[in-house]
Amino acid sequence: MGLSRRTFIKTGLAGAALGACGALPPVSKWLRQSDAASDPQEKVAYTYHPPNCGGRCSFKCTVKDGKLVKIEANEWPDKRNSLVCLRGLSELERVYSPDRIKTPLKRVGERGEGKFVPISWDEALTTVAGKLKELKDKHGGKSIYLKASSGVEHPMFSLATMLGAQFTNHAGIDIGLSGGLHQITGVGLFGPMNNEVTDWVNSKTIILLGNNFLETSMTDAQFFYDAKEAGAKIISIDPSYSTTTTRCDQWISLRPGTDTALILALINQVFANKWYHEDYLRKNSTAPFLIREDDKKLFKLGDKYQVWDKNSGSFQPYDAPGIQPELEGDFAADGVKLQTVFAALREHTKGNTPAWAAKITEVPEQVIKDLAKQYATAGPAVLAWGWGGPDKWYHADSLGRAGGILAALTGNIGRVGGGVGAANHHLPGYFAPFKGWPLPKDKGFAPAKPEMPATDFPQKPNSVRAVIIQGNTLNQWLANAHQTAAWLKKLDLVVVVDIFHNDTVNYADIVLPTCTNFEMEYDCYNLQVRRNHIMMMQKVIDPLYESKTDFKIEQELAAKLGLAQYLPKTPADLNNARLKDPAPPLKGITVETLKANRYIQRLNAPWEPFRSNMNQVYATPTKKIQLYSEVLLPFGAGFPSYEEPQEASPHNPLFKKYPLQFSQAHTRYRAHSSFSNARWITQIIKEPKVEMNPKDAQKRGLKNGDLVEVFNDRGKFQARYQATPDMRPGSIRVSEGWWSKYFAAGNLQNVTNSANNPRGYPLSHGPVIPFNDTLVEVKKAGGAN
Amino acid sequence: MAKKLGMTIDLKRCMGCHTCSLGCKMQNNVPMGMLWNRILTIGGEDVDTARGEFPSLEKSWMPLSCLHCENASCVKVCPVGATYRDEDGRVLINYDRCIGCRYCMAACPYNVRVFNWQKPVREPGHSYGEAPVRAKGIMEKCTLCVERTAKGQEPRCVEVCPAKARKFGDLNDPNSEVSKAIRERGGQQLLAEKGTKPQVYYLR
Repeated sequence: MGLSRRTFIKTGLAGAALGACGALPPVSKWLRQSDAASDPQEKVAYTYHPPNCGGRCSFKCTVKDGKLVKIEANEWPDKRNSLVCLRGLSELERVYSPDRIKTPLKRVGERGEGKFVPISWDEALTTVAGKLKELKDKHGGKSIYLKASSGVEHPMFSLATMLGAQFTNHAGIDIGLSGGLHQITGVGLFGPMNNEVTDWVNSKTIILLGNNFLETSMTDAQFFYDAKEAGAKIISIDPSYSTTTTRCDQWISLRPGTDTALILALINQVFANKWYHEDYLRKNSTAPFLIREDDKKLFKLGDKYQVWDKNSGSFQPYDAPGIQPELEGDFAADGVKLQTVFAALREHTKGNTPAWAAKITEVPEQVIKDLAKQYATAGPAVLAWGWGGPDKWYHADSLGRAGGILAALTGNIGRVGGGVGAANHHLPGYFAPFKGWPLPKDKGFAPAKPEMPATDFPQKPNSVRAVIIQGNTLNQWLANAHQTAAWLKKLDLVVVVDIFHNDTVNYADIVLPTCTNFEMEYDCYNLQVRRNHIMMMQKVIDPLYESKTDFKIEQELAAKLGLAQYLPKTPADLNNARLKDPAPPLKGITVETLKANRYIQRLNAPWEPFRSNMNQVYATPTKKIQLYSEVLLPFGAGFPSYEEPQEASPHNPLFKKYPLQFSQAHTRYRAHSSFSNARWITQIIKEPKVEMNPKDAQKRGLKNGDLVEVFNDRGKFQARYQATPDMRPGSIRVSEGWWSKYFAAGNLQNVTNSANNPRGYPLSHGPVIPFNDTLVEVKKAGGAN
Repeated sequence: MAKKLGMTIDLKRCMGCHTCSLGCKMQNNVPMGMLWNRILTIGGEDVDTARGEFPSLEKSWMPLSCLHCENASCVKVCPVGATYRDEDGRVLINYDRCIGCRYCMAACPYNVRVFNWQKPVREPGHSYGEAPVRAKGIMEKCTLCVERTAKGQEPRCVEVCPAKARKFGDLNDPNSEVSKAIRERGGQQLLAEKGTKPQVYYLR
């Protein structure tokens, strides 16, 4: 690096020549005696990339004169993961963004107006703490709500616990399909696929359902191509022609929001052609369980579900050893007719023929038949969905259930090369739970029980009077922005902790500037487990301006409340506690070993791809795949059915006024609203575009690049129209996450649907926000543009 | 035998993610408003849009930076010998010799050269990566990451590609990965009819 070294010396010369005294120093001080590698001004630090996407790429960062000058992939023990993406690289600029909040701020205008004056940390924290104490004393801890966005590495959970506040980390987002799949397989938060993506190379058929994998999970692209080169047929089911679709073997475009009809037709075909795996279902699922004709509940004797045992010719508990449960037959008990779940499911889906689904989905009947045959007979098969498309619909739970049932019928769960669920950013992997921070037991510290899904706060009466928000949550997370704003205006206190001045900040009474995850007051910071490795953050640079880490802010706020003594002193203390008495995958891993190993170590886990449920034991009450849901019986939904979208349906009277379905899709250029302001990325994509098929645009008299208004009864926003033949006519899209300042007017959340499906409440993570179940109209915006 | 460094880019794998483009920007201290390596969409008018009529659509991406031509027109037109081909086949610019006449910019059929019309602006406000700073009035472009490849490392764009679409190596070595890929996949040179003999091959 002779050239850069020379440049460095030149800079030094210039600096010296401009020195105050102007005298030349002796040659020993003038010339540096070190080379670049041993230059004390240059150092290397290891961290990982947190914001939003979930990829957790481990970085090797080079710092020169206190400034970040290079981001490279760290060397992972599993070298295939040694990757970065454009967002990771863009941090080199984003860290130093002019949008950084430099000091604590106090609001001087109306909430939402964005007028602030700088204040000191002491004033900011004293104000917040005073108000919190007052609210807690008067209205109880439940009047305070803390929320951290997904890009935040240190959610203030301990503070919430000590305050007895309501706290949620995940609500309403990325849980629509998983809430349904959880009913079937007991899958955890976000519903990750059973099999790690590195197992796709063993699959023969891979169906990507509304999954733009190559954009949202681009650092896993090599595994997609490995599978393809190994001969897997990869099929993209997506209304529009996505980046991923361009690289698939087949594309099936369907009417948005009708995926459940398509999957039910595949189930119908599996039954019609007897492609189901009888033995697998008998052993591993509730297929032989019996449904009572009277109340539709599963037949029990005592507290045990019963099946009909062929061997003994009698009812037997489903888990009795040595039984041979029948999948079909006429049974009765106490005069009540009983039907097996298997037979009832066949009957339930009898009408869901390919011809029926063709009318709904607008996919040709033969294509549906061929798809069914491919999935059911050319296995092992993967059914992998994303979070940006079919997840964000009012009835998403039914699709998650239908997908789980289809995979179960064909024996594709707990199988090498199989799997069903969300395939995003290596979410499936060997699990290594951390311990929590031990708060004293005798103080009665406990978070308030959430009184409702947090997505209901703007919609229903509740106890919340103060919110403390880490990240751009309020704009990015909640649909129907005017509803959100009306709620915020009613609150007693809004505190926003963020790095950048984005939309949520505008509603704050007090703004606390946090720093990026490259900056910290400590030598190390948080831990994460991803892709079968554990990573820790090392300090890369000092906090810029007056910003502090979330850890430090939590600590200082707790100090004002007289609670700091219960918190860890440093992130290292917290990490030590989290790794104490570790689960087997973490044995032998400590803060010190991480430091000695470039801040990344592989878990103590097998090197073969992670595959869950290979033992055919499920995290459901029966430990089996539960094809039938008693939880959803009160909604008449023991089995999933197809329902027209709640809003975005031509059968909705609103459709006459607002005939376009509106999606906010994920893109490689951002991870939610993170990177909206990354200028290395806005050099490529500088503003939001209303992506619309030219046919729809023609009808509205629009030319490529016209400024247009997108509107419905909820609100409106303006951006430029982009001629996008990729879009299915009848549906438009704006990629999600753009801050309002990038729109010509408004924000896309002004139009989005926030309705909560009542059926979502008993599900594992509550109702999903149906962002994409939204109807709009588009017109040319006024003015000469 | 002397080396002839070259690259292959698999357009069946490229997914248009721009990671190589930003990797290049970081590595080479490329200022704002410029890229040495850009991702062009083969499709509609705008980035990432398809051509055709729904659902009969076509879309792919083509990363484009200096192709390090064996018979480089930029080298021929440079009046001061600032642009030259080094012994390993890299087409480079001697920034100290460049007089900013921009003949090379006009001569390059691939439009890959970028010129510092003004004092370079770098956001984050400081230099980064490993390449030297270029002054106003100086031409610049891909160097095949000479600071890296001279040490036996791969160019940054090859290293960071998450789709593993790029390969780098010696075209004079018939057993190199690049030579093999060109043979087996029928590697194509861009605008081959111009006779520039690019050392970057596209695999389609």
